[in-house]
Amino acid sequence: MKLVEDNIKQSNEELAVSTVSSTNKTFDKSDKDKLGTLTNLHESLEQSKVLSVAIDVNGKIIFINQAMLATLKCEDTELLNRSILNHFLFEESESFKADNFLELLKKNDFNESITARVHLNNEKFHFRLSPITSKNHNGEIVCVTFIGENITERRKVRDTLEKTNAQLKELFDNSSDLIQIFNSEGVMRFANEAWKNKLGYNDKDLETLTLKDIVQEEYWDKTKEKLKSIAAVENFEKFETVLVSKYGKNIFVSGRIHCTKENDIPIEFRGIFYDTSERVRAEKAQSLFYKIANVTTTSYNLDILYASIYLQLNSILKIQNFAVALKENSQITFPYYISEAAVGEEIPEYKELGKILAEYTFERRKPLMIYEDGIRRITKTKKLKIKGPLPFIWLGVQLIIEGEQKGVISFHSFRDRPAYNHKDLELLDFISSQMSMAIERKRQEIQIKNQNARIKAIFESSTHEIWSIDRNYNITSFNQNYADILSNFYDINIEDKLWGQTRKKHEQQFGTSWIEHYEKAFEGDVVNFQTELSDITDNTIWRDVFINPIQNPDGKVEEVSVIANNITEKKLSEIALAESEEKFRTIFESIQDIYFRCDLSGKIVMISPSATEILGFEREELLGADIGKFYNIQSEVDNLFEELSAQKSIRNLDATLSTNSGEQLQCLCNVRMIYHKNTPIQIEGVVRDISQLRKAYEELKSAKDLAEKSLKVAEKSLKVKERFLANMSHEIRTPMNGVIGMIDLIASTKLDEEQQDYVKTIKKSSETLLHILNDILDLSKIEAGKMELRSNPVKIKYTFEKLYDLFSRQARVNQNSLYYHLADNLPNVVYADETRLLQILSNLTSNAIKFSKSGGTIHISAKEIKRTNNKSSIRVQIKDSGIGISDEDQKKLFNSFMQVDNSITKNYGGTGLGLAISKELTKSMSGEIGVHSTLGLGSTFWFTFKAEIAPGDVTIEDWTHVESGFTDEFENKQPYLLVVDDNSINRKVAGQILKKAGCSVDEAISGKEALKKVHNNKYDLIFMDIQMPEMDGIKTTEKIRSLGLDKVPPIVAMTAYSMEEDRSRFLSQGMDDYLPKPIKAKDLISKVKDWLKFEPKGVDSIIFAEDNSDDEGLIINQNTLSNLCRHGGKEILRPLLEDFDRETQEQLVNCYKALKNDDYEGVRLELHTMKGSAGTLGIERIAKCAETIEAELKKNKPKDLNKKLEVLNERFKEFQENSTKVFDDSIVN
Amino acid sequence: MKRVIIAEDSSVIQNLTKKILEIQNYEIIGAKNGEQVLEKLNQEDFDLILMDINMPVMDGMDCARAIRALPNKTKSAIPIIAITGNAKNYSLADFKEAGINDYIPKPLNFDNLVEMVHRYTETNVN
Repeated sequence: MKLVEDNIKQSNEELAVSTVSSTNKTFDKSDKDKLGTLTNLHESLEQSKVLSVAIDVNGKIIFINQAMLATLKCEDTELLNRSILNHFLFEESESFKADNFLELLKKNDFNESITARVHLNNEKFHFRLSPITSKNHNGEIVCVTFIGENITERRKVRDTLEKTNAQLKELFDNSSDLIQIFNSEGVMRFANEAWKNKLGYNDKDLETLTLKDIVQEEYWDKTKEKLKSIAAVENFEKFETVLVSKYGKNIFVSGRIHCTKENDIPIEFRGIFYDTSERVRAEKAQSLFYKIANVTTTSYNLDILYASIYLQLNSILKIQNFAVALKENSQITFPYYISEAAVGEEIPEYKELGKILAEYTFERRKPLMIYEDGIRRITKTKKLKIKGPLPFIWLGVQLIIEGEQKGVISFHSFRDRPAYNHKDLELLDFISSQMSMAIERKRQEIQIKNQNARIKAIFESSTHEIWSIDRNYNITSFNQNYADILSNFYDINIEDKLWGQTRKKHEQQFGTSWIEHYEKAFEGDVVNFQTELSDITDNTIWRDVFINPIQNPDGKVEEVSVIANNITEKKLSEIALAESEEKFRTIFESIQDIYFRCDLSGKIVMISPSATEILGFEREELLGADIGKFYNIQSEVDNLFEELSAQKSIRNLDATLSTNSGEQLQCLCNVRMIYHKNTPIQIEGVVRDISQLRKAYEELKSAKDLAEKSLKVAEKSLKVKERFLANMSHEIRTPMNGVIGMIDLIASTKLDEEQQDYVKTIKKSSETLLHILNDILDLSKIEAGKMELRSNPVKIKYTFEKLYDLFSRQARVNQNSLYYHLADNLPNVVYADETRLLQILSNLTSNAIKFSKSGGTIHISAKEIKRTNNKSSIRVQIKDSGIGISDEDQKKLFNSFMQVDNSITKNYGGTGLGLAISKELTKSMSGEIGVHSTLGLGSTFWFTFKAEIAPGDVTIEDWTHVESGFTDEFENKQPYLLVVDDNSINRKVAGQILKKAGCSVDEAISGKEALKKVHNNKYDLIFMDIQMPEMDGIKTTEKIRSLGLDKVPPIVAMTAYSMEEDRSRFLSQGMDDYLPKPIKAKDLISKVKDWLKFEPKGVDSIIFAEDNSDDEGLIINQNTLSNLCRHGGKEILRPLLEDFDRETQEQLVNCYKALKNDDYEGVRLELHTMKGSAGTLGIERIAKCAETIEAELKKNKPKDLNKKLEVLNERFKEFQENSTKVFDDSIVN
Repeated sequence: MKRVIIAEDSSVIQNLTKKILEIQNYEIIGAKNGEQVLEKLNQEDFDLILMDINMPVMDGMDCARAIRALPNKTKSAIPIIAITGNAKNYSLADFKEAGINDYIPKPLNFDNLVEMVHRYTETNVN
């Protein structure tokens, strides 16, 4: 069929092409006039093979060429001058009507080719004719020439084919197979009647329909693939797909498709299918049943079940609207429904309609398929008004559960009346029975589940352990409590199947007694027993266990249930009670005092065995006897009863007991009334024989009196000693003040060498004397318990820095090196008495320096040894490389006035009190002190102390931060000072020293005079004695401050109360500073320096010279490094010193080079840089050395520069040796 | 972060100063002499110059004078602190004349250094 049509079309196209091309070539219409006469045209056509005929405006044939005549097999005479319409029968088309052929001709209104049929001599011809219009000069048409082609043969073929075609079509249409033809683009070309009926499309629809529209969406890709493969191999293949009807219904089809190709390009597909929907449906229905059966068992709840059923149904039937209606208490609810809302119109709420239809289904008691009109009728009878459209079709089946109508399952369509049929209803009916069962089962399951949950809750919420066990010793059920017991006490995981499930294993696990109890229960008895159970940590519990047989209906016992209850508390209290009873009895039996009980009449009803011993009566004699027979209470017995009734108990009652031998025993007793339900029933009491105790007490008292007396004497003598010492020290200090002050003054006068030596000796002696004096005072103070330690925040690091500062130079002078190391575990800040701590440290350090050989090293280290809460125990040790101490001497070491080797005392100096004081001080710091030593190998002194750790936010002033005082105009001016002292020696000493130093000094002998002078003069600074008659220094200061001066000069207290606690007292009482007596010139002047920034002059006496003589500084000042660490962190130290090492080496090399070239300025520049960096790093000896040489270079060109550089080189080597030491010992913290 | 040039021919002092000021959150750029200072200043902006007086090639005094003579107003106003052992006994007036704002004596006290650097970088806002 396809071929037929194709051929027709093709020939038409060919014809059209040839006509046009010929026209174009020869007779272009625009060229027609130029062409000249008509004759030219006809002449040329005459011999042409092209068929041609021409007519005039009246349709008369005026020309016919040879080719045409040959075709028609006639002479031109038969046709010329005859109307063309006589012989040519034109086929009409839309633009061409044969009736007005002439009209059209005249109007020149047709120029398309037309087809004409010619009947001539019993022969039929068909021509396709193309007109060429010829006009005269006036533009009027004169002639139309047709160029033609004989299409007679083709026409014949076509007609035949058309006929065959119609026959085939009829055949197709009558076939029940679905036949369709579509081109490679999927455009529908043809479909037979069966196809149209099945899919619901008419011919009009077909015109716009494509394959994609009718293939079910999900199958489209597969279908396309299949078509491609058919097109590729060109062969008939079994073809299956799903088509969709106009109403959206799925139609499963199976059949063959053939592909027509031209030049290997697929042109057309022809498909012959048959509808397999029924078969597919049957198959699907089959699987649906299985699936629904499956769904009912796998769905957790009914909602999921409904949804699953819907999905399954929908996979077979296209269901847009689905509902499950359930009837409960004659109410209809819809636990599940699906409704479409995409058909254009608003779909009405289904529920109302659904209810009516469900009720209707109940009435009819059978599966129903109702069409729109039926639904309308039902709504009318039920008087229900529904807005919007009604479903075209509705299918519903009742759900019958346990013989009762429980609901309706239904689906309906708003789209298509034939959407569903009776087969679908059958399917639904089948499903409904499945579904009823499923719903029923689900409901039961839920009920069971609820029931189970309830029982389980009861089971688990109990505090009892509950389990059951069968004859094979399998645990058949248990609650969590039991599982816990198993896991806690038997180390059994109940989920673990490996633990004892046989009698033997059970016996091993739980013991024989349990098996016996179980066996008894299996015989039908209820068993109750108590049992003790311990876990690995000896945690013991007691349980009360009930085993109940579970009897089957036939009376056999296959299982027993067990309930166990923890009764530990109860059991333990029972045991405790028994124990306490036992205890009480033992006490009662062994009591030394007499315990008794008597009734209200005084008859003894109970008495402890001790009574027999104490009183000498037999127990029988005592029991039942009247208590008054033995018991003499000093007060009236009657009163005792009254008192007892009133007070319920009487304590420490004095009484006497009569013994069998008539002796009266002194006793003390406690008596108590015993009540039973608020009524007194008995009296109990404890009686103690205190005769012996009394005696002892008397003796003790007389002894104590004696002791108190002697103590008072002792205390008095101690106080005397204390006062004596305090007074004496003060008395000694005052003249010492004169001595020391005057020595300083003498030293500042011109002395010869011998004299200088004498003065030095006097000074040293007087200082020693002062030192001894201070030590004695300290010790006596400590011994008198008057040494009160203060508790201020102390930064441990600073304390050690101070110590280092105090002693590093002294060590240097003795050719020793001093290092200190603080462990990282030390607390930062503690509450302690820093002065006293430093005192201990100084004593030990100065000893170490004193007793070290030259070139020795002294290591001081501290670490925390214990920390409890916020208390830190700290241990400090000072290790020297000195002469060492023998074991024997070590023992005496810490006693007062003891220095080890008397013969060398002179060599080393000192009072021998330092260690004794240190020992006392450590004791008062809750610490200890001691020494390890080997003779000749040095000693290690150590001490410990306890201190509270201060919180991190406590601020400590940096000790290196120097108070600036006044930085004012006095720098270059002579200071004007006032010295106030009642003692003329003191005034003289202070005054002279200050004058020598370049100050202008006034003196005042009393507070009163001082006030006057201050009022009249502007002093820069006042030195004020504290102890003065009439008005003391503090009072005077107070008055000075209240004078209302513009500027009160700083006031420095001078006093012999040289104790640290005094200092703070004076400062708090208005003094600005404090200077202890005896006054030393150096200290006095430095106060002026500090307060007035005044540079004193003329005091370069031996005393000051001594301090600075050959002080080359330290090799490495640890404090400077420590300060660097504070800014830059510990880790900078090593690279820094390495840097310095390298750079200094370079500089030294440069110096030597410059020296060779006589470049003195070059040497100086190197040394200048070296001085700066060495000084910054605290490498003092190098800095000093470089500085000295640099200073000389500034003045001249020293000849021995080479030697000097050697010294510097030595210093550098010294540094190198020591710098490694710094790290080896990691002494820098 | 404030940026500071430290001009110092001793690498010991330079490294130490760098380290300490870096801990104080400064960005430190080192220079070995006055010429290097001028080069660096020409390329970038800085907040402060710490300068040794005694340096080879171009000493601190000359360098300070050169900086003060720069055409760029911001650059010529940068604070300069001398770090010096003061070998030539310059007075503070001498330093001021050369355009040096302040000085820190050698041996260096680092409390002093940190305080001074803080002070000059903070007032450098205008």
